[in-house]
Amino acid sequence: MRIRFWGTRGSIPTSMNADNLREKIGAAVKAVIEAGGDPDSAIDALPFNMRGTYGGESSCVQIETGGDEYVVCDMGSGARRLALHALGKHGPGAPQVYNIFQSHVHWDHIMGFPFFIPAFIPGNVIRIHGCHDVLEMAYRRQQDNPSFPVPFEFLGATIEFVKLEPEQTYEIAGMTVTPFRQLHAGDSYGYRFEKDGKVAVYSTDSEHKLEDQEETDYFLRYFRDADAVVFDTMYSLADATSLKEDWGHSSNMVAVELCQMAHVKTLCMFHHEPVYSDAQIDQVLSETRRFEEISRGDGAPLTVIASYDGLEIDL
Amino acid sequence: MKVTTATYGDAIVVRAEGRIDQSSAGDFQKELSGLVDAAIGTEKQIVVDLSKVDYISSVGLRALMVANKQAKPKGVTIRIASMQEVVKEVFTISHFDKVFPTFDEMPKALQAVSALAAAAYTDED
Repeated sequence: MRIRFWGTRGSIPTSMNADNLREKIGAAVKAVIEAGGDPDSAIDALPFNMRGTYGGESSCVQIETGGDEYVVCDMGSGARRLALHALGKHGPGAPQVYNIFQSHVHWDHIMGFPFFIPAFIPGNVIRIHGCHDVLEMAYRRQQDNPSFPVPFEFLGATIEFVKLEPEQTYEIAGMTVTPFRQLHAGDSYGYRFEKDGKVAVYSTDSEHKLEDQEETDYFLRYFRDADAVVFDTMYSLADATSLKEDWGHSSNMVAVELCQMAHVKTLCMFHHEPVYSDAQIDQVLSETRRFEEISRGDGAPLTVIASYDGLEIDL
Repeated sequence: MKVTTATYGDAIVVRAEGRIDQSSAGDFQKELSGLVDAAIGTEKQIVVDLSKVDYISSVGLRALMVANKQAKPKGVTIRIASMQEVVKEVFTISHFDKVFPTFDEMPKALQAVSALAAAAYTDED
């Protein structure tokens, strides 16, 4: 099983501007000059925030299982690049089946669909799975006049909306998929994907407080022993408990605690705060890894990574 | 976890001991909430002494934040004193160090409350 991250930012897509890029290049050049020696090796040795970027596309994550059908969580702006990748791989003349699993229908999680080229191509089948009654309405509405010039009815692919029930298990695209209800305004749903003994959990846009043991136990059931959990770590704990309390997102510390309790192997920090620079996300990652060490106790180490647009991890 | 309190002039000092985590945060929060209630409408301020706390989890920090939300609008400041290194790190990682005034030593925290509180602490200590 492989997870490919096409969009990892929270709430709204963002990009570097010219000043941000100049600052990044300046810091990298200085560090490479100071390091001396082979420039390529010096570049490879730079921290990620200097040699790369976390990117700015909103939520879109692909789960690859080796099967023929695509499995994708959310259609944020990252879906545009996924579309280009799929078309580059298969060409427009080879119909594909795309299974979308929708966490919820807030705009940052559906905004990529009008630019998802496979939806325009007859022969493709796109099944949009979700637990919300308003799933189809939200997808259609964002393409209605005057929001977008191409109405939903114009799309050439066969598009089906599939209502799922939380806590029920389904066999889809050769995988076992279980949606579960999360803590977000208007509800959001996480998904546990299982195949061949590997488990990936997609859990974004959920505000965990860990105050209620019964509520915590509910989530532990779906996180239990996962190889990887993609988790909303948008805020610091201070923000999540004060100014941004009840905004529907979690902190890096709560992510670590939940994953430790559930014996998860890898925590993929996700839904990054759009105001954070690459350097700030690197800093949060470093602090989260330190918190994992502090809070680990006698438990097994939890690997902590920060997802970025373009990241692929094999489970 | 154990919680004791003492008053030095116009400072109420809350001394916690042990781990403030899932199993103890509820009691800690109740204790703090009662002290904040007692301080409201008086000139008293609160200092939380964490010198004997070896770990605080997110739920423990949340308890502090709940107390702060109760206290701040009513003019009561909660200060944090004498954190162990690990707890200090957790404060930094959580950004709680940006919310609460923190002090390495109790006398400095009490001095920040008032000269009266600092003097009362020195006399008794």
